[in-house]
Amino acid sequence: MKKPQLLLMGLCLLALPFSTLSAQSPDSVSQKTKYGPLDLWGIGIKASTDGFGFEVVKGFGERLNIRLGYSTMNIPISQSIPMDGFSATVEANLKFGGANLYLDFYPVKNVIHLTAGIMQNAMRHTLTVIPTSEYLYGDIVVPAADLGIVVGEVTPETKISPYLAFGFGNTLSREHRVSFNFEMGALYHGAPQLSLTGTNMLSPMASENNQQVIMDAIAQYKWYPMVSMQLTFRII
Amino acid sequence: MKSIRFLTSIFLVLVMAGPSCQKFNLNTDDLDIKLDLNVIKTNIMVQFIDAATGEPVGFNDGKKVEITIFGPDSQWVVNNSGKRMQKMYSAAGYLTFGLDPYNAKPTPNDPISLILVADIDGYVSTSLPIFLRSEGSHDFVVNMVDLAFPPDGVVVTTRDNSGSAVGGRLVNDMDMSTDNSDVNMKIPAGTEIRDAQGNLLDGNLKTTIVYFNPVRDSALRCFPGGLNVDVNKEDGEKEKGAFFSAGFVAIDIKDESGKKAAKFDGGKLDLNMAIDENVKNPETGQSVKAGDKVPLWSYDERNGKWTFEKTTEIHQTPTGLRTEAQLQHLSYWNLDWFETSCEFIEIFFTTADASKSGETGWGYGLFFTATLTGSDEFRTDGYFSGYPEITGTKTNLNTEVLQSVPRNRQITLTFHAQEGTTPLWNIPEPITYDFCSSTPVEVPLTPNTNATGGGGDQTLTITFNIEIYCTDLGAAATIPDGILLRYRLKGSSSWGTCTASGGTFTVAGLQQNKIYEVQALYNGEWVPTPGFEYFIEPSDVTVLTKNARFEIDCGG
Repeated sequence: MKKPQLLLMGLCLLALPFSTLSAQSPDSVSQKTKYGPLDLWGIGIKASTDGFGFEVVKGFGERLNIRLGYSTMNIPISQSIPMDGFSATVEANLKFGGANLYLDFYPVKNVIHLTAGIMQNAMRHTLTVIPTSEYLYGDIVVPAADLGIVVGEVTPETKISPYLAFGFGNTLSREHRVSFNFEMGALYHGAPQLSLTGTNMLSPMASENNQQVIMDAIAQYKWYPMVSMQLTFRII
Repeated sequence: MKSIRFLTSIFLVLVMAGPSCQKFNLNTDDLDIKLDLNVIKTNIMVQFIDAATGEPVGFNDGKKVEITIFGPDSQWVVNNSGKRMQKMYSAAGYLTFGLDPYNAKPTPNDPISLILVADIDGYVSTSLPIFLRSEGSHDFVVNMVDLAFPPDGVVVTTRDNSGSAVGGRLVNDMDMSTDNSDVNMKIPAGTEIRDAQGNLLDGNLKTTIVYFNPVRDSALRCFPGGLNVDVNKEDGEKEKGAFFSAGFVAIDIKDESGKKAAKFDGGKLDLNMAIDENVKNPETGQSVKAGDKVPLWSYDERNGKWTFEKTTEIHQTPTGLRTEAQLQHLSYWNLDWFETSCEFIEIFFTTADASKSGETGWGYGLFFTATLTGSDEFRTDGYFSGYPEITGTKTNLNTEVLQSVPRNRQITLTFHAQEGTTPLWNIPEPITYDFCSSTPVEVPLTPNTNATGGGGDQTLTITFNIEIYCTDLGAAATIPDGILLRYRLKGSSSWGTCTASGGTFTVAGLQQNKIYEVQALYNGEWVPTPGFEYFIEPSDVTVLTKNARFEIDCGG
């Protein structure tokens, strides 16, 4: 765990100068400026542990932003594994992302913010075990194609997930055209749901018992950690 | 700022020290790591029945029938573990084996042909031709003749010192008859006798003559090779068809070292055989009479084919009708008229219970006997295993068992259940049919209310989901299709049997508050030993599903 912690601390340190810089004068600006519906609009791009995406940001006064966005990410992984009596390839596809609607509140203007919101959680991780070699059943040579496959799919329990975060910087600067935001938080998706399907000889691997045993083991992972960096361009 | 610190602390706890940082705790021992070993798609079960008692051969004394497999597809025969086998042994009268699905897939256009030769001390060697056109489970019955207790219509005569040979040559004339003189055999002195491998017989000769009277059903049932035959005809043409027998004789001559006579040189065997006057000549439709001609066939048990030898003429003698022939090799000798047969017979079992559609497990084992309508002359018998797949309201069952039914004749099928079993369906009424008709045969079934308690006795039906755990492989699997299982009330002497399908087998007619034993026939052994025991609770009612796990050596 040390490495992620160091990384996060490093990211925080990197973000602080931006936050500090952008927090130099908004107090004086806000006293002078009234913002209307057509003011404080921005478009952002972001990279997070939930994928890459964009956001439309609308500012309200000096301390509130609303963000509507979408992110997505697919991570394909392929790995050969030896199994009992044959070899196989495990092909995984980790899919993250979804649409989000967040509210940012700045207790300390332009320095740190608290974020809450909801996300239409499109997380869907699949893992497919595909035999790549023949299987000897006695003297019968069973071709790899006839061994079947096992497919596991993990989805969130809640399709609409609440999100809470703590951030540095600003998702929409009142002073500058470009603003940088870094935030850490968590997405609640409930106990992950697993569905297993299997075909041919491998079909018993996808038993209800196996599904339940694995679901019990992963049931504790109800929160998904979110680390996000965002660059926003204020257009109005 | 205090609130910010507080919230920050909460978030950090959530993100960094929350549940996502907990140790992943999966106990792999709790996982079912098993394969579906239902690799073999064509399963064959053979029951070896003592023709006199009706009991499975070796059921009580543990004797095993040795089965040697010949035929063009014999190389693809495998045991339950997928090992190729040319020689196998029965267990308590049963044999199960399969075919390599990647090299021997039976279809109507590419059928599979096997010959099983069955040997066991004290019985007449016999054979079973198997001709398969489809995958699935196929069940056959072989009726065997116990030399000490032959069935009605079979006469066995054995002489320990019927002659002697020195350097392969008979010292004196050999002249031997069956006890009732139905068969007389003579071999002149000086005849050289060799076995099938060309070795000379030597020393005292032990001769056994077995005569099968074809007017007795019990004798027809155990005709070695059966009445559904592959023949090499007089013109050399090969054909499948049906025999109508006028008489059958099996002669076995062995020397002191066990060499079995097969060929004669420098002399011939004179065979004189009685013809029962009640034999019907199918060519005339009348009882056989002097002057009738009947072909004589010899049998090659290696390929299961009967070969035309000569045409014999029936004579009137003071003791009745007889015929004779001179033979130069020993074989089964059969006097038969040959008729062509139907190519393919479709049989559907139907049910009015549409709710059964899609099911595969009926738990229904059914013996049948096919006779010529009118004369009741036996043609063949067999067994339908209990797990047809029902589509709509009917099912196609195991048509291979009824092959080679003679053309243009009506056949009557009668049914009976295996002793000690309670079928889920009532035994069908006899069916009379022209089996060469283009219309499939339909056999209606009605539910047997006694199977599930509706008939009065509190009986119930249990479907067992069976998992086998191969102790030698350390792997588990669902029980493959076609595996034969037997069950009995604990302490009872009789077993009921049925075959596994879809990882299950269904047993009906079980009683509450009783213990039952279950075993599977796996690679020639009944396992587990002792059998899996299941107690039926007094509270158990009607239809149940239970799990069973057999720990066995899979021979891997």
